[in-house]
Amino acid sequence: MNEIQIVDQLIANGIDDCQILKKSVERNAVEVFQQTCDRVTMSNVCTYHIQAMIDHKRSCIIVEEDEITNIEAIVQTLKDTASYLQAESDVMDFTFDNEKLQEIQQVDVIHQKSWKEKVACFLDLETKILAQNDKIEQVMGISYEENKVEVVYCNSNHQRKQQVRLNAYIAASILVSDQEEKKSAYEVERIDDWELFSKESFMNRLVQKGISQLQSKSLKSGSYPMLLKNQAMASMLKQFMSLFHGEKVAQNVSLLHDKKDQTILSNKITIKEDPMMPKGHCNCLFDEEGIYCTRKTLVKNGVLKQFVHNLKSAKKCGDVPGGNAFALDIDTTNIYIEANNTTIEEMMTHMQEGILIEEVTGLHAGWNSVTTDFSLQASGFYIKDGVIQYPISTITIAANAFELWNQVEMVGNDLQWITSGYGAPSILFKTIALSGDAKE
Amino acid sequence: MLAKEVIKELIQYALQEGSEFIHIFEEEKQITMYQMVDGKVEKANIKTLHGIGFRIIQGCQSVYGYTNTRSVKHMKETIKKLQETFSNRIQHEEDIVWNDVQSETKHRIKKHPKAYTMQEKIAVLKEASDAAYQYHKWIKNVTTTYKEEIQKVCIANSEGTYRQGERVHIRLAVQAIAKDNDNIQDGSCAPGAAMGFEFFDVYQPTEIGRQAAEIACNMLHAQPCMSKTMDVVIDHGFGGVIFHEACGHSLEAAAVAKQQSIFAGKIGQKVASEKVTLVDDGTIVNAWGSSDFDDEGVATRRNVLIEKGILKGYMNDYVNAKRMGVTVTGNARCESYHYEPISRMTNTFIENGDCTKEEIIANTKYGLFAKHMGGGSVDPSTGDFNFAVTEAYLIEDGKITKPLKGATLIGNGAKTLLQIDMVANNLKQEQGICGASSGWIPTNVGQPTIRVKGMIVGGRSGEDTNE
Repeated sequence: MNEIQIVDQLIANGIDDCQILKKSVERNAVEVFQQTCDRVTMSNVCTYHIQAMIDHKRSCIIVEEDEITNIEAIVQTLKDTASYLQAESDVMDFTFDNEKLQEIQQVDVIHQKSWKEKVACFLDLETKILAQNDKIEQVMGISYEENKVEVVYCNSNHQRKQQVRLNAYIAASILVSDQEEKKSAYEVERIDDWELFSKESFMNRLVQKGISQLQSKSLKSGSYPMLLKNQAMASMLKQFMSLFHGEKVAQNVSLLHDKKDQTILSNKITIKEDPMMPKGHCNCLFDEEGIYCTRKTLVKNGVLKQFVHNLKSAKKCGDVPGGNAFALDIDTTNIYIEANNTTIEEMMTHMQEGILIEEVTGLHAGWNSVTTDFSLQASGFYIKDGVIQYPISTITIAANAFELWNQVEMVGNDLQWITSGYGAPSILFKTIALSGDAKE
Repeated sequence: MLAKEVIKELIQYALQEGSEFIHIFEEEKQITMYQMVDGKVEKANIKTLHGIGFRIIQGCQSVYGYTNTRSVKHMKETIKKLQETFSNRIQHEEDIVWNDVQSETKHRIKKHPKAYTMQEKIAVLKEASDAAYQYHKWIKNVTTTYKEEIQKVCIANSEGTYRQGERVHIRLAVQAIAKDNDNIQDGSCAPGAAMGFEFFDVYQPTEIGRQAAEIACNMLHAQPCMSKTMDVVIDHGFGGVIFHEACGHSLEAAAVAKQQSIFAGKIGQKVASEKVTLVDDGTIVNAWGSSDFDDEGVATRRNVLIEKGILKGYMNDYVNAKRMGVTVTGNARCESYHYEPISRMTNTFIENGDCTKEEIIANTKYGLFAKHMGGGSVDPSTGDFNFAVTEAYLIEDGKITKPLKGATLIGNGAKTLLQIDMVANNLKQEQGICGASSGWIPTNVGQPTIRVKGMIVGGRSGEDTNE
């Protein structure tokens, strides 16, 4: 049965309003280790999200099968679960929609090169990385994944939307050592066009990340000015975004719930969402409720402008939905902090003495999404007289994110993305608490 | 699920196509999740899935393909495509002789969740939610989540392994948010087990709700933890995450076999304090990380990894055991058919020591008492790890004093394990979800109360309290 036939079957079984989201994913992946294809993965999986409005309640079932065969059982499950839902009236609105954004043309990155050519590229890359520096003890692995994700949305009004997304990522990690000290480094890059992928750039970034960590020291515990590097800043932005989720706002559990049009952050911070951008990691035409995704300014010069919603939370908050319903929850597409025009060297000169943090670890546990308190393992460099002195590790940095993001001194010009769809420039903060085990 | 004859047909097809070894993992799963927010059922999501994975191994190389087609023709096409990645193929015609081991499960389900209605499951949510709200007027928001997974698996390979079984997991999670003027804090409690509905005879929903609320209220007026190096007393239960991160992942063969673990090549060497005996045991009856057999069909077992500080063994899977020239240990696990099974932890804990928790506290002049922990992470290749503390107190002159919030503990596995100088006799295990390259899987972590000398405590208060 195709999606329209499934919808018709649901209607025939007494469901008036319903929607189907069919997601088909074809995936190929390889891990190269010591000049062999150590692990190869191929897959083809189909999933149906079926939602129905029954007595003003929205119930849902997800079926991960290549075909829907038992409509009666699905209908019964939907009816049973709807009867126990107690929350305020849910919404399924087939009349509302936003303006459709112009889709970004995608290069067929999957067929641009043959699989054999790609594997040859990774094998060559492994050899070249190992030859770069004698402190590189091992290339721990080069992994590559490409996938094609096709999403079809269809509802009981027979409205149908479709989008296809092609994704390809290469990642590599190395182990570097110097006498007893060992450090690892990891680099990942999204490939939008094989013609534009540079093995040399990728390799140089990875090797530089690894080697620059050697002979690192801890620091004495205390407060330090902090220059947070772009990708580390982007990973913190990802955690911060949960405060903008419409359902948490509607429940009054987000710290932002009553702060619309108020200053919440430094006036140097502007946060935007763009669901359709060149080389966007998370480009998306429509969300899982079939609503076209929109461009948004969430924070403008430190002032909170809007939240991100599904249909239900938008109705509760009296806002306009912007196409942010994903995975039966709320999520975002491409979110970023706008860059300014200051270079990292200028920021280091301004700072004079402090820490440049390149990486933070432990965000999934060390970040409190309710209070925005965080305490994270970190690594980077110690700055003195405006220049890098030596690498630092075995330290933690801790603060409350709201308090920290109100202490922005400068915003950089080096916007960079992480693969989960968050981007940020490097940002200089006034001060942060650091814990380390150095005596001086 | 596929009939045994069809599984045999697929294996023989793979052998005819030139496979040296093929392993099949088939599953059917139903995941049920009900969520109550502020006393009302907000979500009732059901997911059903069926899928099959084929892993073909040649030497130490593996190719893995998975699909949710039910067409045997398409499954054979998948197998053929996988086999084509190998340049050397030796066709063989072998009759598969099953050595299927059918024995009664150790993890009997006494009250199957299918026999309980949605109403009965929601009633559990209500009990926990009410208990959290009743704990204190500061509790303003409570979210309770009931999750049940019923999985049927069929695991077979070309060496004749054939195992079938059902695995049931239940978990109840409560998050309570406390507010008092501008102060806000949350607390969580989320026990789980490989049990049926009898889970709620063992873990009372009211107690789960109460614990979550207690943590939120205890931390509501806590001052930020200081940032310094100090002795840390880590309480029993989820405190065991220190071992999960500091050495557990580094003892999984996926890292060891490729010399990407700090514990590679150290069997027989002292890697921890002599007070530490670390065990991974997938046989504990009805425990969260337990099963009769792993996801390669190998019987789970109790593995002593570190004995009185000496490294005794690793956790293995088929490919990495082959790479290392050792036997499998029943630790091959995966989240679902989407993943190739690799060596993972099950229920990992250290054994009881010889003193009491009270003695450890009384013996500590100044330090941090980490009562409840959050999760953490580790880099097995360097041993650097971190984990979060969700409820902590200062210890001053052998007494627990003020509450502290927002602490993270970091260290290096090779050093931290040697810094454990006291281990109590109150072992407790608690539940977590562990993520790695074969997906997210349920694991127990556990320990008695322990003391670790000189850990870096990451907090945001620079204030130096008297020692």
